[in-house]
Amino acid sequence: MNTQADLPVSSRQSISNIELEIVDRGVGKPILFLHGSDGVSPTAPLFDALAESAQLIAPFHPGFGHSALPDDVKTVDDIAYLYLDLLAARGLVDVTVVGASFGGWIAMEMAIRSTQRIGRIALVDTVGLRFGRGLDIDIADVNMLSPGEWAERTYFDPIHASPDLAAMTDDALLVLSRNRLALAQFTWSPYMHNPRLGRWLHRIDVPTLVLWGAQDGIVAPDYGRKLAAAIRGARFELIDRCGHYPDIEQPQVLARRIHEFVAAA
Amino acid sequence: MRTWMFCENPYPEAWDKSSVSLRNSLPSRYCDPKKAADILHRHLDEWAMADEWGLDICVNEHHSTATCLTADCTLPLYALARETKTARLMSLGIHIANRPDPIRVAEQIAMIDVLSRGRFEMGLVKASPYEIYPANAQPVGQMRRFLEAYDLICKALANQDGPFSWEGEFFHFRDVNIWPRPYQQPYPPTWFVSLSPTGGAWTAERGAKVATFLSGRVSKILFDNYRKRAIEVGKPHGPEQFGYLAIVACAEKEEEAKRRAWEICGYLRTSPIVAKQWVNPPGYMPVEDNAKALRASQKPGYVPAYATILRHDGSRIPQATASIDEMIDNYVVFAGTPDQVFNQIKEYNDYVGGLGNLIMMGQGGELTHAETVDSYSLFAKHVQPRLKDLQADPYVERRKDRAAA
Repeated sequence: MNTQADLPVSSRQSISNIELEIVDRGVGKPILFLHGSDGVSPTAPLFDALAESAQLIAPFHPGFGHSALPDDVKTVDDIAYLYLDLLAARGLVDVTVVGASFGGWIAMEMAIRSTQRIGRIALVDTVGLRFGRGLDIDIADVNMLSPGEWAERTYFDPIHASPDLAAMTDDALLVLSRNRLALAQFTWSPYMHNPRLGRWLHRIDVPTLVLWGAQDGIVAPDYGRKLAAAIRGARFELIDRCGHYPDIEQPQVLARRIHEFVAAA
Repeated sequence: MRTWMFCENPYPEAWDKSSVSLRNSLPSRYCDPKKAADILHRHLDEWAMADEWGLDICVNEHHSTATCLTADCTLPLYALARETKTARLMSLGIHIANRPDPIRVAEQIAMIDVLSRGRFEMGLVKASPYEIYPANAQPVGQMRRFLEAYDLICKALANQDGPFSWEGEFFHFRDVNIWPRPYQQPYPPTWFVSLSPTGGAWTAERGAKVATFLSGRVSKILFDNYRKRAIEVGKPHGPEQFGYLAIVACAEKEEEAKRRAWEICGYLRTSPIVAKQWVNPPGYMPVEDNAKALRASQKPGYVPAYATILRHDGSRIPQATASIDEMIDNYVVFAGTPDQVFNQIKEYNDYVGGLGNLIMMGQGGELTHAETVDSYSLFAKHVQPRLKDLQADPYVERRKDRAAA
């Protein structure tokens, strides 16, 4: 039961001179949830499920949601340092970092720099690496897909794909526009990856779980398998009836896998 | 008033190959290189007649599209710099925000200006939103990148003192020292393009000339904003600072002229055929404007403002389906006998308070070489001489009858 029902869904906090919108819910071992390329709702069912038995911290990345995007915050490196600063500012240790899609890339960039405050990492349909070269494309380029193609690749159930724009508030439309801009800022080129990241993956020295939507058409399960093979001791698991966003399509299953992963520590 | 011959070098034979997108994704197997060669030569032949006609030359650029084969505007301009002796040569424009190398652009500008012995006018643009994708330019911060590129290009062109370094937000160079340096000093006249009424101010501040396309009555708002700002900052604000691109067709008979105009309007019917995902790149528009556009797009029958024609009574109609008469009435098209065309242009000149440069889309769609040459010849012989020293008079409420005075 969410005992914080009367409190605001999210709040604004300044970390390293960047004003972030952050969801803080629940009590227990800390879980830092890093959302994906298309943002996340502050009232996402996944958050309810995670906050049931953990201290959930879910920031909106710079430029996403209502978080600021200063002119000098331009790369995923910046976001990685920002969130390491966030953990330090709050004095957190043994944090479970859960990164979905673009958020998973951030999680890896954090971990190769320092796992001092990180207990374990869950990477969910993450991006951030390339295994192929030239014409061999690992990550579908959402900028080149028609809305229909994007929906088909991203979701197992297309009902999630087309938000009813007419029913959205002005603020929700503004957030949608902000999210698109911020994603372009951080992922435009080289597209959706850091060519240098693979070189340093060996520095991830904490338990790593790689979770993948079985029907992910943006980054295929095989990419996830290769990623798990590249991280020391990482385990790979599929989530069925699910595309690129398990946090949207299978929030209960995802939450359970994460709680089990935390409990196994 | 100067008149500039303009053409997109279209490949109309491929226009029926996709109803989803004629830009960015249409496979080039639909482009027959032999036909493309004929098209490129034909339009160079037409432009090369500018000297004889007393007209000037304007060349644009687009990428990966059946609507425009000019993938680099500097190349035809270089060829024409050699083929002509008196016509001025305008790029409108070089995609300086999308090109990765402003110094390369400065070198191209210098070469055309030198070869033409000082006849180049450098139109430097941000380019249409869908051009982001073929260039793979970062859409976020485009305006800042555009302004830095412009700054760097001007400094590179004006510099005579040996190498300088540039450590900018977007561009880094260690040995900027272009040879040859431009013929016109410190560099050729600059043109910017603006399609929104508020665009006048920042172009005026830089003393650059400003051109608008097919915007009809909206140009007046932009030109007024420009003049106001230019006066405030002590920059030029006469008619020579303004350019307007319209579809122009002349013929001996009015009916034939309107038919020619309709043919050229194939541009309006095909230019917007762009797949949804490329119409509005992320971050290209400020987020507040983007959110408003998302809201507005929910209304049935919504057409974005830039694709509409503003009418006398303040209402708007879609450009793609407007009739020739509606387009003539609202200054998007000038078409008719030479006298009619003169009267239409004069009226527009009065409406905007003085237009120094008419950029004439005199060919488009399937308009043949013979028809194009005939239209331009009539214009050159009977209209341009009357435009040359045309002054702006107070605007007179439009007359329905546009027959010869």
